Amino acid sequence: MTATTETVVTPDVETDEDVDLETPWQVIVYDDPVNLMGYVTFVFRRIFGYSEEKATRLMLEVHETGKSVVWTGSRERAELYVQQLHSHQLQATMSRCD
Amino acid sequence: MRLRILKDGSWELARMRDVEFYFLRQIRSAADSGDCDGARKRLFPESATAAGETTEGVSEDGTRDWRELVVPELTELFRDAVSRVEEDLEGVEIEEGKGGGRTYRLRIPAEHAEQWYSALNQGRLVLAERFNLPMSEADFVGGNDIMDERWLAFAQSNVYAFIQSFLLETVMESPG
Repeated sequence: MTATTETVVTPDVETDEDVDLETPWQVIVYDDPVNLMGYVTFVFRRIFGYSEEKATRLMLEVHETGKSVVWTGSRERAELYVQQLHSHQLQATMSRCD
Repeated sequence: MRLRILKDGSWELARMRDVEFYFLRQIRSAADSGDCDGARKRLFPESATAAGETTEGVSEDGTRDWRELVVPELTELFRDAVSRVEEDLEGVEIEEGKGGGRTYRLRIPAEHAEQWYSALNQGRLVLAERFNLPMSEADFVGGNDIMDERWLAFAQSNVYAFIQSFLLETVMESPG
């Protein structure tokens, strides 16, 4: 009897570096001279459900550095948050995370 | 002007002078960004992404949807807030003072507080853009008499901010 070997062909799988799987988006709030600091904290708690401490920390970052990334996640949710921030008259944008 | 919260949860503006009541009655014109491009862009951003940024990942359809759907919603929201203030102002009581002067008193339901805050904020944002207002009196450069339009706008903005601070600290419910 002759022994046979089975040849298994493994396809040469190439990864497509252009495939973008759920790159997260970030929501950025900008400082402005009109909105009261307490109001900014209030809005962060209202929209994102943050604790007083976290909302205050983000507000201070906005105030002291000019802007802060306040949330990161899906594009659809980021759009909703930006819209809600605009409805509270805060300056906000969204962008892809680097 | 005196601000206080009442036992039933409503809040009261009392002892308002003529000029302070006048400033409140001017809320619609104060909040009108129509002829002020900077104010209009500030209140009604036409995109969720920053102006000038590449719109990678945001299709033209997405930008158009934002302009056609979100901006009108914001417009209506802000207009309703201004209308709320105007409606509440119709309930003002005039009190004649002994010396011939008069003051104004207004009681407002607690549930109107956030719309008042929004309308007053619109007014301050538009006034700041239109008149290039500083945030403190120390930084104010220019005429400081009642005949100076910019000084009046600055005083008006300060009255609005005074009421906003009260609403934020005393009336508006803390989230969570």
